[in-house]
Amino acid sequence: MAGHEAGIEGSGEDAMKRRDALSILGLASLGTAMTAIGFPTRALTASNESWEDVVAAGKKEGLVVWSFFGAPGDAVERQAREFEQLYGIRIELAPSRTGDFEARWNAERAAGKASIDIRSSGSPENRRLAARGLDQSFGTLPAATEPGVPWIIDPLVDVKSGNGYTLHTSAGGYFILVNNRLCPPENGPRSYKDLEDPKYKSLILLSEPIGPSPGSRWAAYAWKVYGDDHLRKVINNVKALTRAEIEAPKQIARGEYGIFIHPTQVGAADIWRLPKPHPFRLVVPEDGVMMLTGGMSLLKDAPHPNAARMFMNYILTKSAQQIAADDAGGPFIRKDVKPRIPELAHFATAKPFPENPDTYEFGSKLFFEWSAKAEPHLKAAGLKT
Amino acid sequence: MLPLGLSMLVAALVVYPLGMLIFGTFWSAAPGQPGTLTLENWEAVLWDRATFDILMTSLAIAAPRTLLALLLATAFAWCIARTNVPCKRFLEGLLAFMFFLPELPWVLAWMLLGAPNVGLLNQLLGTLFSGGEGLINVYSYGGLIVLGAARSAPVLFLFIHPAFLAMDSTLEEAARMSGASAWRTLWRINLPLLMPALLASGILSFVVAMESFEIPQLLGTPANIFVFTTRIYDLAYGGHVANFGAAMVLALILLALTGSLIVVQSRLLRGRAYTTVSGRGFKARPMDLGSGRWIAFVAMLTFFVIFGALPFVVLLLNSFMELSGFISWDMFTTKHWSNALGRDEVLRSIADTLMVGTMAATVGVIVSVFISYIVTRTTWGGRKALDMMAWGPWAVPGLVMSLGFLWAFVWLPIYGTLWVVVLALVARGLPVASRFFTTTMVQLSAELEESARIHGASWSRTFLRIWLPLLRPAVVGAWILLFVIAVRVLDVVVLLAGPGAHMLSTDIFLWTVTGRQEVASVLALMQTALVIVGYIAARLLARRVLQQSPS
Repeated sequence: MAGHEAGIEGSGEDAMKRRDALSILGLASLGTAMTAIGFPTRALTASNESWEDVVAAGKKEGLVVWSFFGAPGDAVERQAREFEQLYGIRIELAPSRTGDFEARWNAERAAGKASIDIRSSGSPENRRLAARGLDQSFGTLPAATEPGVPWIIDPLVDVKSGNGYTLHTSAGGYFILVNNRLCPPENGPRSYKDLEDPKYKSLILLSEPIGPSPGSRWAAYAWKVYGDDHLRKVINNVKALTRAEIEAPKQIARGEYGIFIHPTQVGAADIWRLPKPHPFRLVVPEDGVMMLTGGMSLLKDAPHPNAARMFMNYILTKSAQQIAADDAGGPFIRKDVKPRIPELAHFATAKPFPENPDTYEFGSKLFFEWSAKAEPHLKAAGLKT
Repeated sequence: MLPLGLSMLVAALVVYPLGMLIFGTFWSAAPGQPGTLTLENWEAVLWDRATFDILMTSLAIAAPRTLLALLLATAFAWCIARTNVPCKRFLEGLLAFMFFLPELPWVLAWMLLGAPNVGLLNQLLGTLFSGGEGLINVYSYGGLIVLGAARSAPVLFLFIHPAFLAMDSTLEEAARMSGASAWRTLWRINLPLLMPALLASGILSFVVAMESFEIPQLLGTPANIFVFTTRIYDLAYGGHVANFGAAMVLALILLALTGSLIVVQSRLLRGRAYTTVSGRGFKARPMDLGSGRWIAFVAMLTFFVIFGALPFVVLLLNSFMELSGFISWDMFTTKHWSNALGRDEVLRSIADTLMVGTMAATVGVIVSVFISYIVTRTTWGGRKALDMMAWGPWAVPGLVMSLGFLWAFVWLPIYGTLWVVVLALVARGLPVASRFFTTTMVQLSAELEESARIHGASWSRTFLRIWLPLLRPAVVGAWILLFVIAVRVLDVVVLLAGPGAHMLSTDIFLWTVTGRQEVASVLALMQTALVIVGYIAARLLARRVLQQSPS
């Protein structure tokens, strides 16, 4: 399967290169003429350009189309508005799920009508784009190289290691969510390893390990560290699978299920609004926090590459990061911002899960191979047919 | 000339996108992307034992769901159209209201109401009697069937009701005078005459059940119940690399299944007469149910309270809660409403949705009237092919059909505008609207048209003065139906809506998947209000046109 994909991607890449070469040869003079008369054209990135050149070209482009997973929440809208005020460049929001984004973008590119500049999502999606050569260099971003910034992880970790052009813009961590009535603190799990215990039989709600779901992430991480038998034992304790991961924390709070593996801080932020004392508790696992970074890619064929680079730079600034942290449970990547709910920001300081494999290889390929290890156990437990 | 032109239009709207899908099943990558011709997608699906299992599961849910929905809709239509059940208009309005409620928030409301043990209904039952809290479980086969049927029945009612209205009551009276009971009359007179409408509605309902996505995705998955559409979703969206080819193979299997049902339908109806409206006029006198009229009224009201009012109340309360699903006074807030109403994006979505809905419904009705006319009233050689073509977009799950529309329409200059969404919605609505008109037209006698032509009326004059007035209830019904579909539908527009075309349905979906159902509830209520406005406007306009038109 992987070889087959590589073949397709390779041929696509070659075709793209040929097309770009023809474009450059045939249309260079036309492009010069169009630029001279003020027609917006796609900027060709030069390695020695100054940031001022990028800003000038970006302002001429005047627009960034930003695709991201989910709905345009308060932070997204505030960031877009602030960027517009700072640079006079309009942000067009294009929220969509991963599959919808890919389907649409593929079709647009095939028709020569690519409309999207930037895609933000969990890093596995961005790294998958990188692995297929579907992103492009964003050059040097002043905010990413600003000295003395305390990053949770280096935003340029993939770029520096030569693994494509994913810009890491946020970091988040998973934990275990437990209902206090169904699973009182004295008997509750303290670590991922504890979830093997048969006393948790029929208490666990698991995000279905499918695609890049949180359940896939748990299965992949847990298999890597604890092995196959651990997956089997935990899955034997699972009462149900869910694809409504955002709804799951509420189901725990209502007492529908006892334990949920595993919500992000964003998911738990919703139930944090419930009156205290909360009927649930967040368990930061003693064996470590499984991390997930959020990525941003400058897409191949982006129609407004310079304006997009300006936005990528902006998103790393303290102001934009603080806006992200102002959202309840909002993930961020700079340690010098103040989270609105500190209890949900444990990922910034907690011990990472052993061999926390949030690396390029993991995000781009192994993630899906490792998470598939759960499949036979799910079938054996009667949770999947 | 008209049949040929219309066929070309329908081909462009339906066959071309479907052709892109069929091509996609033989291509190793998404159409437009570099790849090679291959049979791998077909082999992977057809040799997979899971395909057969999923087909059986889908049928096990779709068949009883269809039967139950058809039974409910026929009973409702009969009571309202042919009996003296009280408050008919009120009951009709309640059923229409149920049809207006958007599906996704409706399902989420049912997750709150019918979750095992902690669902609001289970809690209520638990306080009433011991063990009552475990009675309802929406995460089950029963949940999928009952909720699916409750969702389909109001739509089917819209199909069957006009057919009951168009039936000559002298036929019933003749049966009653010959000593037949009310039930025997219904069984031997009404139902056989309604066969075209019942068959068309049954097939439509079956197709809807087979391609239903939200209900099985949210309620089936936790119970380990996987159907065709959830499998298609897994293939298209769930893996490392989207396997659109295999997803489309599954969609084509579904298309073959529903296509064969349509063939069966036309065979069953061939050579039989269903004309009930002829040149001699007809009366629609209600049947007296005696004291049973109040029982029928209470039964219909109960259906509405359980499946319409309860989820609506949950939706309404959710929109005023700090966090959806946690309903209490200390969680009360109006901020979701003030936030939504203060956002330019929401107002733009409302305006775009209204525009798209109006255009799609109007164009869809015009095209569908002519399709049905050609299919039922002409001997044109290509009429059967035209009929089959019109069914296409409904027989393929919207999840996949949206890809066909995207690949077909991305090349058009109007891509990225409202118009491309309108085109897709017209295509999607064709099977529903043309079915609507076809079932009405087969009940109209040819002698009406013939007598007009004998008196020297041109074809266009005959169409305008004879056909349209007789079709008026169907035109209003179809317009409302298409408008509601256009405003509510998500799967078809999810890939086409975007910066150039904002739709409330995609906004609701995105807020829902992001976990902000309280915001989604606000938008869903706005969407419902929009649909009601369209409904009332259509009824008022129809009444006005009728008053102005010569008798």
